[in-house]
Amino acid sequence: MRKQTLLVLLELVAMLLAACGPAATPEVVEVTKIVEKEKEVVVTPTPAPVKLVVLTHWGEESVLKPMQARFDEYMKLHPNVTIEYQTVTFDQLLIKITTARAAGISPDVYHFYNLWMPEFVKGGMLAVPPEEVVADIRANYGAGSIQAVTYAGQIWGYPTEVNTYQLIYNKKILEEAGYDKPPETWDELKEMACKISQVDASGTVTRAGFLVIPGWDSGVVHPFLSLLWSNGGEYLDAEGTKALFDSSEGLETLQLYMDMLEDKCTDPAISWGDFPNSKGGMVIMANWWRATLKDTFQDGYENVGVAPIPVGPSGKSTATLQYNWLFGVDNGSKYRDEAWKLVEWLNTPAKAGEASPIGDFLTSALGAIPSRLSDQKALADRYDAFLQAFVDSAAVARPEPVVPGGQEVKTTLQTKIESAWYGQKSPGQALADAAEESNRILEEKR
Amino acid sequence: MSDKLAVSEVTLPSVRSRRRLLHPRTLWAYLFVSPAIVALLLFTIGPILFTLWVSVHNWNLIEPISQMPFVGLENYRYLLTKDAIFQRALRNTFVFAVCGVGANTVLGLLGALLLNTRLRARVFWRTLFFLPIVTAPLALGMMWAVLLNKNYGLINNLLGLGGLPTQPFLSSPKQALACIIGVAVYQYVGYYIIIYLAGLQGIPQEYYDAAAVDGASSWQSFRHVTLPLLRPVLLFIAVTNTIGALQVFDIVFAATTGLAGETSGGGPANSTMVVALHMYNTAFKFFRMGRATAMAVILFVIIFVITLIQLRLLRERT
Amino acid sequence: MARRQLTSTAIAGTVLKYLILVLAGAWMLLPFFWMFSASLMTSQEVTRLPPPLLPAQLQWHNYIDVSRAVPLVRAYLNSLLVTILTVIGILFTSSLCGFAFAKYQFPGRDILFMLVLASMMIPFFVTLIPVFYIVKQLGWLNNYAGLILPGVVSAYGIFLMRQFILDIPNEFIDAARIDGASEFRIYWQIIIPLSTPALATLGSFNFVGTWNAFLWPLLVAQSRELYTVPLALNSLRTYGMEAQFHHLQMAGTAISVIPAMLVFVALQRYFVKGIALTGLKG
Repeated sequence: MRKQTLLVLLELVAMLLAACGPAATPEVVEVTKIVEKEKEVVVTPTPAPVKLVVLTHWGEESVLKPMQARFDEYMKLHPNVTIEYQTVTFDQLLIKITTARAAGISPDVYHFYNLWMPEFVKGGMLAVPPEEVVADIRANYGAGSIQAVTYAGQIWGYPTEVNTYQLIYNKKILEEAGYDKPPETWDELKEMACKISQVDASGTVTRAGFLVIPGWDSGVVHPFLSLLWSNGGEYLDAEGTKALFDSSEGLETLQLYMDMLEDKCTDPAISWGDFPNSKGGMVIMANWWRATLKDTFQDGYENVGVAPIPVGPSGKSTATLQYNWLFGVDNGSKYRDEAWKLVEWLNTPAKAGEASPIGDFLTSALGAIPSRLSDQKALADRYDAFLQAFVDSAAVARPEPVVPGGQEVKTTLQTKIESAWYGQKSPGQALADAAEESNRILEEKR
Repeated sequence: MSDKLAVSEVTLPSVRSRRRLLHPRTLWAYLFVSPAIVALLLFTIGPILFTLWVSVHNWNLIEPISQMPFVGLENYRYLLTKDAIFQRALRNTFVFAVCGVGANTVLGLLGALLLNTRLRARVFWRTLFFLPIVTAPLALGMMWAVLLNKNYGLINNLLGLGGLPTQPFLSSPKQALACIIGVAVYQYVGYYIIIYLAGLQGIPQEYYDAAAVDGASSWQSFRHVTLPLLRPVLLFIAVTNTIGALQVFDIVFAATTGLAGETSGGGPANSTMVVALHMYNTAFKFFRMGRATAMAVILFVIIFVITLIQLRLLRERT
Repeated sequence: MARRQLTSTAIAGTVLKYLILVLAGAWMLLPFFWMFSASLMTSQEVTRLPPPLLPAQLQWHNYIDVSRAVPLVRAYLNSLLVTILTVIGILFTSSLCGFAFAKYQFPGRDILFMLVLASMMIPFFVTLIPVFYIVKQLGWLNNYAGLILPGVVSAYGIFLMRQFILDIPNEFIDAARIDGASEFRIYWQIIIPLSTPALATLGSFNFVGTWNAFLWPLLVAQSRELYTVPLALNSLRTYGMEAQFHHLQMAGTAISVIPAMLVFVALQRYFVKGIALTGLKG
């Protein structure tokens, strides 16, 4: 008999636990306090407790702590607000946002990549910012950043970090090979890469002159596009409905990689992670990499050089790719107004002439460039030579096209380019297949 | 008991079955099976029908089901003709299953033969080989990813000590799949050893004695006594483990995602992309539920065919 | 019995045998050894070229650091709760259902059993997306119900228990019936005690399987408080972009591996018996 009751109890426990979970909603408690202020008696309602869940991909310890400190500061200023700060890695961020949405438990605030905006907007996931936020953004951000966070005629959140790509090189290795300047054209790039490359007796590349970044869509596509645009080529048409990268300029760009691969001046087995270990000479990467380079570059951070993207044979001038991130608020959030207040606080300076909390964070912990114009002015002294080069490149930076299906097109292009690198397809075939697939996606998602 | 029998002999069949239906014992039986059957219908049978249905639509999980557009066999057509990643994943998954199960079949047999001899502390050795099985595949994937790291992994370190060149392992499209297979072999070889051991110990000694009397060498008695008697066991685990291997996810996920910048996993040039991982990406990264469920159906059909083949082969033997 | 001859071939054979065993055993242990060793190294040591085999000093604090980086304690409790409740559920439903199939006659019994057999053949990931959707509609996402309830019935368990209970002699049941025992009583006081070997096997397998489950909890548990040990381990995997956190990852892995190992060492017999049962019964 006792065993039976035990079992029944266990089942009850299970049911009880099923009922409770971390998704409990806070109760709204309103308390009025009487405050004596000089000779007046003022009745001020204590604001109801608010819980905000914030999601970013800044999960590494070096960036997790500074951001957490900002949220702690906000919580001190607003005692009724509790902020739960969640982080995942970049590659899980999109899945996390969308699965949480499907599960009905989205974070209130998320920091996301602007390429995902079309799908989020079409899915009704983003909350429209209040008028004052829109006005603040229009007044205090550059045209490029405003465009980067606009979709379907609406601004969707505060632009945060802006990143561009440049040719990052190891000054020491280049000097040892006899070069005192980085390459400016593709021919120079090839020549230098091949001179720097070292191959051992069995034919394996031990030091690559030029590094690629396989396995990652941005790592493959962003440098490719930077080179493509510096070659006079185009990625998508103006409306974002058709792929244009299977042109002759596109083929030339892919051929640049293929030539270097064939001459063993680059090798996908040696990737960007090997650059700090002096296993590579040059790589096209973005400015947010600065924090890692500062910490881990073996030959000393002062030997890290930054140069504009080399110009291709069919191109007239250097160009590069720019992409933005933004803070947005979930449309289903229970505390939309509070969420926007938090986002606004993060992105505006407390005092004129100062930096906003996010600007301060981006430039110190991350090595990224803030989008807010007042931040760029207030933090100009934080720009070392490395960052300054990226800031200067903004003049020739083109934003990554933000169109429905953009993320999928990017992944498709990545896979096809890689299939050419690994010898599974000819470059022409790879680009043609990628274009065909991309057109399908763009057509379908429109 | 006997009086009950007498009664049932006399009553008409219809009365008998009605009595059986209303018998309190029968009701108890229904009560006993109902929770399980309901759960199975809800979480297994229902879902497979749901999968089949969704696979002929396009659905992004967010919009309501009633609004899913019907697309017929478009998802299947796309997967089998246009989705290069799926085709690669299918191939990789097959290679993984066949090589993994094949290697483990041979290694397991060897191990069992070894453990079946006069041996001290057999239980100790058995425990040793069994350790990886109870470890989470995710943990194993993580451990081996560090061991196989081309820069500072222990394996490359040992190779270097032995004067051999270091290998790119998981960074090389040629070696990555072999590495993943290696991890899977490592994990399950103990399982095979245990089963073969049990099978070997079930073979009566008389058969071996009879063979010895007939003048058979140990190799001959192995070929003509051991192998045939082990065959049903061999077949059974080979097939069930193939079915499990075709669904591999954790190891590949642990070893190929979450690294700096990696977005979809699957190794260099998708050389370790497997169907389960591609399905996960398609479903939860691109929200193409129709295509993802079609993938599941295709793999299920393959598994089903393999199961049928197994049943046929087993029946032939007995 | 002929005395075993100590010929040179016999000795060589024995030596070879033990040599192979030692090498194979070393291969089995290598990752675990490295994991424990790396878990006690500093991050520089783990990524040094060439990497050392043993830490210079035992960095026990790694284990504390790791529990601060991810909520490992909470994850442990979650895993324990989920696993124990799931296993109890599986044992209960499998034995009850198996008992009914084995010892009762009722209309539709064979059809229902075919249903069980059919369910056994359906691989988990084929039902993943629909089950995710159903669980979402039921409101079980991101809470314990979603983690436990879908796994609480195992077609394989029902099958196994039925096979086992079939072999229980009917006399026991008939005797109890004559004594006036209720059906549930019969189940509880006769069938369960007689099926302990099968239950132990089923329980130990499912304990380890549930403890190590990754994909399903990954989809269901969206908040950190709900993470089970594999999920906590996964979040640890991505704690650092470069390799500087491998030492913590290995510490986390070590912590996560221990319970399953303990359960296995304690219930070894049942594991082996269970595997042998499945393998030989076909």
